[in-house]
Formats: sequence, structure tokens, C-alpha cells
Amino acid sequence: MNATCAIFRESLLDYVDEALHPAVREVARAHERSCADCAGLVRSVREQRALLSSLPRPAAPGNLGARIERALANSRRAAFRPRRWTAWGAAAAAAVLVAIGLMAGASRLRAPERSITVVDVELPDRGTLLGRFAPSYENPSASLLDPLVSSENP
Amino acid sequence: MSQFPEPREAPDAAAEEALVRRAQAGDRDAFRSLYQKYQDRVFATAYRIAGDRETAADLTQEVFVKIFEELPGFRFGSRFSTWLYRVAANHAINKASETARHARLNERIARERPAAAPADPPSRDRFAGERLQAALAALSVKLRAVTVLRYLEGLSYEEIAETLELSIGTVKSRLFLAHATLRELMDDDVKEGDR
Repeated sequence: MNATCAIFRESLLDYVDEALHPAVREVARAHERSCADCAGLVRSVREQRALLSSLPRPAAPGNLGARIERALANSRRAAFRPRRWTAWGAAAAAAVLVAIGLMAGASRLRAPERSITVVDVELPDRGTLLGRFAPSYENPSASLLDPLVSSENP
Repeated sequence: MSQFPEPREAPDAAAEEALVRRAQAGDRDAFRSLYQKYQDRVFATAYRIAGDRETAADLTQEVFVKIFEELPGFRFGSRFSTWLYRVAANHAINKASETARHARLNERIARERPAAAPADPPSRDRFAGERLQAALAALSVKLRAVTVLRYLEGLSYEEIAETLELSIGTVKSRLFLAHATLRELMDDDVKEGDR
């Protein structure tokens, strides 16, 4: 291989691609005709290119799409992470809902809805039990009646 | 210039950019359209560079997860497909290098050499194609990557340079070296087959 061969080989791909300037291409063609080694190299490159370009594309597995979909589902999903203000907004809304829930619960604890049942017993010839033990009973208070009251909402 | 039998399809750049922008905004269907469009080509590139189907399928998944996660930061400095190829090719190159697949592929070449008297001898072209595939698999990862991107995926020298972050001169010199190495490997193969 001489210096001309080295120069020729530097431009070999452009020569095979027919991307050289016409004048340069003629010089290269003349060298190809005169040099068996370089001519063999050109032939080899052309054959390889033709073969490589004709190789079938390997078929992807049939489940590749499903595999990608599963991998995406398990990814960090950075692309779809909510913006910061949205996250803060969601947190604030959740806090308000919790607070409302707590307040509602507390109010129910403080003022439970009660149904009061006054239990009294008729005593033979002595009036009623309440009349005997609470003679002043006219408007019973809750405290007086507590032992006798059942609440449906403990 | 592309003079190969199956040139890459020229994507509609505006439509693709719109799709990418929708995917960036969180549209899952848009991202699904993107991976459905490119999954076969990413798989093929990964398979040619990394060398086996299961690894290529894993790499394809990983590439799309990476793209999915980094999509909000994509600023259209290049085409989406170029960025995707860059991620895919570099991922495959790294994987192939890490696992030292080169040595195993050489073993595979030895296994895949046809027997002296095959029952159903392949045609001359098919035989040459098989020898070339085996020789391609025996190239170093760097040489194989430029060969795959140039001749199997039909990228221009400029696109390969951008994809692999190399100069065009380096791409051409690697490709020339790949041709010379393929020639030697195939010649050796023929000589051994004649013994």
C-alpha cells in the first residue's frame, strides 16, 4: 500500500457513496483501476453494504408493548408528577376536610341526640314510683332522670 | 444521501412534535403512540448492538422508561427520534460493554458455522448473509454500533455523529475500520469453511 492508497482509503466511503466531487471521483476511479488491493476493498465494501442493507429487521417480541406499558406503570412517572402548587392545594383541601370532619364529630359528642324514656311504675294505692320518691317532679331534669334514662346514642 | 433498499421512513416532523408536546403535558395516549411507533426500531437497534433478544427487549423497556421520565426536560434541540436513538444506542453500547458480550459472540460464531455437509445447503446469498451477521456480531461494540446505525437503520453520517456524540470524521473512520474487519472475518470464515 502506497501513499495514494492511503489517501484513496480515507475517501473510500465517500467514493462508494458517490459523494466525492466529480473531478476527485475521476482520480479515485483511476486509482481503483490501477490498484488491485484498493479495487478489492471497494468491491468488498459494496458487497457488505448490499448484504447489510438486505438483512431482515429482527422481529420484536409480540408482548413488547405490554412490557413497556408495565415498565412505565412502575416508573417514577416524573413526566406526570403534579406541579408543586397542585400538591400543596390538594394537601390543604385534605386538611380542611379533616378539620370539618373533626368538628362535626366533636359537635355530635357534645350534644348527642337523645330520646328520653321516662320509666315509671304504678304503685298499688300509693300513686307512682316517681310520685313517691320525687314528689316535686313536674319538669324532670336530665340529672334527676339519668338513672332512668336510656340514650340511643351513647 | 441514502441509497439503501429500506431507507428510514421520514416522520412528519410537525405532527410528531405535536405528539411529543402532548406527551410532555401528560397525555398517556400520546406517549403510547410514540412508543408504538418506535418500539420495533429501538428493539432492532438494541438487538443488533447488544446481541440477544431478551437483552434487547429489556433495553427497549428501559429506554422508553428513561424517555418517559426525561420527556418534560426535552427542549427540541434535536428531533425526538434523534434523541431516542441516542438514548437507545448508548444504552445498548453500555450494556454490551458491561456484559463483555463480545467474547460470547465469538463463541457463537464458532457454533453457527455450518457443518461440512449440511442436509439443506443454504443459497449463496443466504450463506453470505449468515456469515456477515456472524461477523457483524464479532465486531467490537463501537464498530458494530456505527455499522448498525448506518446500514441497518439508514442514518446519515451526520445523524450517527449526533446520535453517538462523535465527529463525522470519527464516524467515517470507524465505519471504514468496520468494513475492513468484516472483510477479514468473512475471509477467515471462508478459509476455515474450505478446510
